[in-house]
Amino acid sequence: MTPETILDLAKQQGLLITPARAKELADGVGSVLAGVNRVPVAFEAEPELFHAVLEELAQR
Amino acid sequence: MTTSMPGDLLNQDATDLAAAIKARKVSSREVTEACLAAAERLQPQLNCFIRIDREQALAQARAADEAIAKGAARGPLAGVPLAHKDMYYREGEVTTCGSKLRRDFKPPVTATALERYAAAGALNLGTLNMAEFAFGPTGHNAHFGAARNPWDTARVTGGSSSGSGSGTAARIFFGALGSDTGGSIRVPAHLCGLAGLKPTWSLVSRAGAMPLSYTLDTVGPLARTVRDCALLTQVIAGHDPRDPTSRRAPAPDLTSGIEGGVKGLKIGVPQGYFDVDIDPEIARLLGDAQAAFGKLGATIVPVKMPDVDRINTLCNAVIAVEAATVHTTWLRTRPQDYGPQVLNRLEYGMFLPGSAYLVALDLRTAVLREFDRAVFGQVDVLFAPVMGRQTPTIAETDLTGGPDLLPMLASFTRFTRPINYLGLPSLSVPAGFTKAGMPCGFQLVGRPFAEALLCRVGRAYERETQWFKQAPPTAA
Repeated sequence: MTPETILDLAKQQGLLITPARAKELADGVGSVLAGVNRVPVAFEAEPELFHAVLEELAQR
Repeated sequence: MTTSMPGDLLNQDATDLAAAIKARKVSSREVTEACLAAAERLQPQLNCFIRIDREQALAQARAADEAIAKGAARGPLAGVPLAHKDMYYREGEVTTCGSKLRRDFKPPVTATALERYAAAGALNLGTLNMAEFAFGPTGHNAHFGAARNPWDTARVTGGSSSGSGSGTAARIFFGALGSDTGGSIRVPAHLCGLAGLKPTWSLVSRAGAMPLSYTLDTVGPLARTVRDCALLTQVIAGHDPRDPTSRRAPAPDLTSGIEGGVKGLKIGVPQGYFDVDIDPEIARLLGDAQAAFGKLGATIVPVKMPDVDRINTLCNAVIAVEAATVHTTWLRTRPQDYGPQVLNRLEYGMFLPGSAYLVALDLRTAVLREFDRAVFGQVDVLFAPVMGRQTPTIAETDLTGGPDLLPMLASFTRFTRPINYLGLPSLSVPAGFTKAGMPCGFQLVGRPFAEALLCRVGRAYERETQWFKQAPPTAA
């Protein structure tokens, strides 16, 4: 994500962001996205419910 | 009634105090007056309160003593003075959430956790300082000032439950609610020399608690001892119809088996991630604690960690988007009313794509299963550091932006935050002191709803080491 994209998105969301801050945000968002994007995601119809998995693992 | 000095009264833990009040060895009023005197004397040095509710606490103490005299006090915390992080709503009373934006906010409801403490007989001394909107791990607050660590008032308390850590450690009250979204109970517990229990996600109702990140938020106590943490959690746990995400089960019994010891248990010591970037002194204290568990009859087992960096990244995506979502309106209309550090962090979540957030949510169960298999397929409990660095000063960590801000914040929560993503319970336990005289702790992580086991293991260690008996230099 570029600083220009951040500035466009900020404008559309009604946020006041300076160009220097947009650069920082672009770097930070890019870092999180790089981490998330390296995780393979299986094609599944519906993820499991977190509550149900907690209960299942608690019984082991 | 007792003729003890105030220091003796205030040095015991909540469990012993509750027994002494019940047996009428000391009155609740006597203890509450000592707490209030300590609060008024120490507040200028520690800044742990946002508000001291003197008259209300004394009225509650009188009522508790009358009920005990009539044999009508049934709660396990009858007459025990507590105080809570200022993010738990109390109907009609100002709840600031540590912020300018809610400086005058009077909620229309009372938090379930507060109602349950009241039903258990506990008193409330006031509301406690915290990171603004619970979004900061150091203890800084741009609006109310930083809470100060009673072991060295130039150093941070940790956060976000900063006043809870400072005041409980300073013997001003006997325990406090914190909240933990990325380490906000365990970090201040570690830095202030306390026990702190972050329960399994959904064990304790969040009704009437300020939201930060609903996928990750948990409600739990900081206390002088592990056995107090067990009692203070047991009293507030259990299903609550006001919080549909709360577990549909009665409150667990965390106290009756707590003296059971660790003989025969397997305690895992991480290989990878949790053993990286640890200060040598902290590493030595952690090693001593592991050796103590060995002497107590547990088996120490090295456990290879799965990809915890990945867990942290996914957690960051969740908290960024959920926190920004909660604050969207104010980010648009009143950005100038946030402290710079909190505003800086909140803005990130406005720019992460929806797909990244949903990927992080969807992967949560698979990642939890993988972690469970890798860790709890081999051991009963995982032993891990809470923080790897020595306690910094308030001045060193007073950053409002720039490239050093996020790495500094991450140095506080890199070992605690992954546990929130996994939803697992974790207990922070005091483990001694550095050469600078600052406390150090470790965390014990368990399977979902294994709080009773964590408390049993932590209690065995605290009974053996007795670190909790040491009071800080700035204390009642």
